[in-house]
Amino acid sequence: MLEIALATVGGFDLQFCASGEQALGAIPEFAPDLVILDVKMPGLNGPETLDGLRKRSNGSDCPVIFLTAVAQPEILESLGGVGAAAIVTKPFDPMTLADTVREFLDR
Amino acid sequence: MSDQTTDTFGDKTGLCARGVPVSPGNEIISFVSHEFRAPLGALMGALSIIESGVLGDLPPKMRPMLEMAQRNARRLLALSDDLIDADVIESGCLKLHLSPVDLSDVVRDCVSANRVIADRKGVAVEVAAIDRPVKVRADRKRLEQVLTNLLTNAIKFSEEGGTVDVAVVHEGQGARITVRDRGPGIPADLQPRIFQKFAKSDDGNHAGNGLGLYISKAFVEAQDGQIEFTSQPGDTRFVIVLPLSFTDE
Repeated sequence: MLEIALATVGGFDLQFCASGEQALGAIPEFAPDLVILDVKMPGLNGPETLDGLRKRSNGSDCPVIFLTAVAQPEILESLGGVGAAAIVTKPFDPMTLADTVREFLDR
Repeated sequence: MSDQTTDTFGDKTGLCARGVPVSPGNEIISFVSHEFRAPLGALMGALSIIESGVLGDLPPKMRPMLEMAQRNARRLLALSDDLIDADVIESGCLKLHLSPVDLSDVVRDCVSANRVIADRKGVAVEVAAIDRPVKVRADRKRLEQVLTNLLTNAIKFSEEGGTVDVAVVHEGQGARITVRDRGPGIPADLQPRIFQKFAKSDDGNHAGNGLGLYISKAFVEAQDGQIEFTSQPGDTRFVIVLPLSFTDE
């Protein structure tokens, strides 16, 4: 669904990684304009991956969007404080996700 | 700068703050409702992708079937969300985020969000002119939910070509919101039960899960407000009164 929302609808080039660790390994070479992270992941979770990204010298200021199924305002607020550009809650609307992403890329 | 407080409605023992319901909610209902959200989200996402045509043109004959599937998926999602709210209310763990809220702003947003539904049915929604901000101390998200509930009911029960009126006025120390429709009215035998769970009309034409008003009443009262109604054929009015906010944030 994410692939259709972003690649087919949005026309973006995507690389999928199966974990936070894999993402940290792939980002320097792929050099994305934006990273979308799940919050709950085995191994490094979303905020931990973001932290790892910022500590690296390359790709460190690439904007990050969290994708999460959590809806409680308190948890969303604490996620916001971690340094992500935005938080998108699941289920997301696949027809508008690309627009949201584009908004962040245009900033 | 915002003045936000989190109030836990009905929490007399402080247990809720520690994540323990003060009275039994329905564990199974709550579990099932939460489990429904992800598959329903995927279902609705897939249907909207098909509808958009990005994967190929949709044969015209299929469109009504697709729309029916989407309507029913939305209905299930609404039911699932309402069950979750009803369970939170029942277990006394409702948490509100209160802040000064401009009522006229909320009314405008809700009316505009429901414009499409109203237009589709040929119902006009008229908002009486509000010349100044009317600030109440409320949880904006829950207030929007209540207003949306009243507005969609009013539209649902209006005839094609009918009008729904929304008005906001100051009344003493409070703000009064009235949502009025000119539909057939609430049946007399339903009126005493209208704010109870699962109260709905037997008329199969007006789909609803019977939880909206139960939830709305709980949200309004948790914000120190009141909700009342009067109804006869041709004139049904739901009125919410909320205390005004006098802080300047």
